[in-house]
Amino acid sequence: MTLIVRSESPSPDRSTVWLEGRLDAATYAAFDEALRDVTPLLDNGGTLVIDLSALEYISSAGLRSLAQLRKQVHDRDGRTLLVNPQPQVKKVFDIVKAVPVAEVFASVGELDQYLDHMQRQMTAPGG
Amino acid sequence: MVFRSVATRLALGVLLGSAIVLVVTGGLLLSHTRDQILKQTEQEASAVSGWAATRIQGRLGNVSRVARVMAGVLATRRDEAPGIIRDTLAVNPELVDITAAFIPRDTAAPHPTDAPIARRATDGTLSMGSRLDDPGLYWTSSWFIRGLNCDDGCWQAPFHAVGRPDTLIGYSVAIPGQKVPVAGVADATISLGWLQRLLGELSKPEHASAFVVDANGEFLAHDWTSYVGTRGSKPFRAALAAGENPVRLTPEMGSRVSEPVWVYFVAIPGTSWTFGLTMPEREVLADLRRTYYVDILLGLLALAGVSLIALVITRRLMAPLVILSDRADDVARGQLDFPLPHIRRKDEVGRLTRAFDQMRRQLAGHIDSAKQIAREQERMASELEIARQIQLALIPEPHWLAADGRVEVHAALRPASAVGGDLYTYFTLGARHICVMVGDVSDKGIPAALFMARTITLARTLATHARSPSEILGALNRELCKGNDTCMFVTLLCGVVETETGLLSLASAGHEQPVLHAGGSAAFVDVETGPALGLDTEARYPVRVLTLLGGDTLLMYTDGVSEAHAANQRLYGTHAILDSIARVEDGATPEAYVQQVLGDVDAYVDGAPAYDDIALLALTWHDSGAVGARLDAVAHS
Repeated sequence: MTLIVRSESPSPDRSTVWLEGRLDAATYAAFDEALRDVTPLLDNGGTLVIDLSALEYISSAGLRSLAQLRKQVHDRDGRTLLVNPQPQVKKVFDIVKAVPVAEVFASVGELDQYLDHMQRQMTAPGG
Repeated sequence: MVFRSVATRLALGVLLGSAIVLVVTGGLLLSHTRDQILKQTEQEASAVSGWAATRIQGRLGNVSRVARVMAGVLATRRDEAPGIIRDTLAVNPELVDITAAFIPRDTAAPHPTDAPIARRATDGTLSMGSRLDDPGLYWTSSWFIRGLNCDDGCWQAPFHAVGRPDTLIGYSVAIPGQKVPVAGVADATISLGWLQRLLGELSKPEHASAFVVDANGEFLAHDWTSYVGTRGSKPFRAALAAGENPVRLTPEMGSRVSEPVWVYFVAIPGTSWTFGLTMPEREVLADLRRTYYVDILLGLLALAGVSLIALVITRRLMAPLVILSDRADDVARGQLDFPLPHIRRKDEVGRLTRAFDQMRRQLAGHIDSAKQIAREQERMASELEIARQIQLALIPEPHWLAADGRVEVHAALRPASAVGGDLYTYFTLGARHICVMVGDVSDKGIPAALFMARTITLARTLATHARSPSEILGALNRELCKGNDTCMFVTLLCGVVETETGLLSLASAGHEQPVLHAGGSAAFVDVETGPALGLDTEARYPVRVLTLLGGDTLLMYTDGVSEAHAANQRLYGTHAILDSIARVEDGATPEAYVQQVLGDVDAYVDGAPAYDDIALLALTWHDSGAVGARLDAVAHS
């Protein structure tokens, strides 16, 4: 069982990464390597969305990788949002809280709603 | 042994291959030359035959001319016949007799002058006679009837005359009549002895036999005199009738020959006779065969010479290879230090020798570096072993009974490799509190081990002044967040027990729920978790408080237990842990809990190597006198 990473960067302010398989001690290095190509495409202040719908398993090593990625993006004023985790993966996020629970969304719809909300806040007068 | 040498095999191969080529091309040449020689012999034979036929024709032409002239003369001068034939015989010495046979005027009373004959005896004297003296009636005999039909003359069949040893043959011409078309037959006879002599005088090719045969296949003359007067064999006659030339006759075909022969025919013009030559095939091809054998022998000698030269040259070329193959055996034995022949040649052998030398050096280099790597690995392993000892020294003894005997702790730590990221620890906080912790650092190996060391050391230091697990986790978290760019984190479950009352406060930083075995049943203790330590400086950790009764046991563990599995197997699971603990009897020691869970996990993975570190800690509170309701409370620090 391995990890497959796909990514799409339609605009400089938003990139999406899909993970499929297992993110653990054996595969996190490949994940880090793949993301090294994706993060530079993201402008400062951009949003990195990681779609976890096909991720079957995440270990503490995988969580560390995600936390580190989040920290790197955060240092550039960006956000890392996780979307659509499977129940067993969601449970790990809930227990370990390696990333803030507020940054994990159950569905793409929920994520879009959140992003809309954030945008309105930023464009609102005096916002 | 000799045949293992490439040089010998090459030389033999050259010899064998060339010999095959030689024999095949020799065979083709032989067949080609054989055809040529047969053609040449045929030309030679036809030249001889043609010459002989011409001579025979000349002689016979003379006879027929005499007979035709006589027939013309006798047509009008029947009465002068005896005189004419006598005079004619006298001037033609090659003739044996001349007959002027007329159809008798009265067959009832024939007159001797109807058929006078002039004869030449063997001594040369001439005499006259009559055909009436023949044994049969001459006008009914076959030669006469045949002669009547020969207006232009024809040769009769050969015959023997009484009192003569030689074979005779007559040429008959019909004598035209005055009132009837034919009046009689003029016949001139010659001896075939001259023909036999002519054959003997011919300059024929060696071993050739000449013969003359008539249209019926009867030999008129033959070098083999016993054949004269006999008929040729059936295939011979068939070839003669079909006009085949030349023809090959063999004993198998039924010919009267002892070996295959070639027969060449030439028809003698003006007659129905054929002159022929017989040549034994063996003799025709004898020279050719001899030449072929000599050629093959010389060719084989030449090939043997070439093979010898090939053998010598190849051995000289291959000599370095023999040394190289010996040296390759040395390499196979691990012996790399040896001299190599100094080869200046730029051919394959030279290149191979140089490449071999380079390979030997590279191999030596690789072996050296492999040895170095092995030494390095050995050093790493011993360093890891030392690191393991140091790490184990960081955690307290597996078994501990508090001074007042109320709290008993038993723990186990099993790193998956030499060092690991799981931890447990316990220590007293002041006189009345005991702190227990079980944690799991993200990732494995040396980084995890170092982070674990940092965690366990900080925990003891920071906990000294705290009384609540919430405070302990908060302080530890803030400390671990410092300089943690790689986002290493540790999940940690921290419990603080008041030894006198059994009051237990629990706080979790992203860790698995503990199990409480109380009153004969096992259940998870629902502790709200905060973020794992080392990630979020602002994190807060809620506290869950419960009161232990005498004999109650709290079991804390890491995910190495809940996620234990063999290859392709399902994870062990938290519920399996619950089941395992439920099987432990009431009032058992904490050691029994640890052994039960570890035993069940080992049985589940069935000898497969562990995927993750395992840490387990069981805490039992002993208070036989204390009876009261369990007090639950949740407090936020």
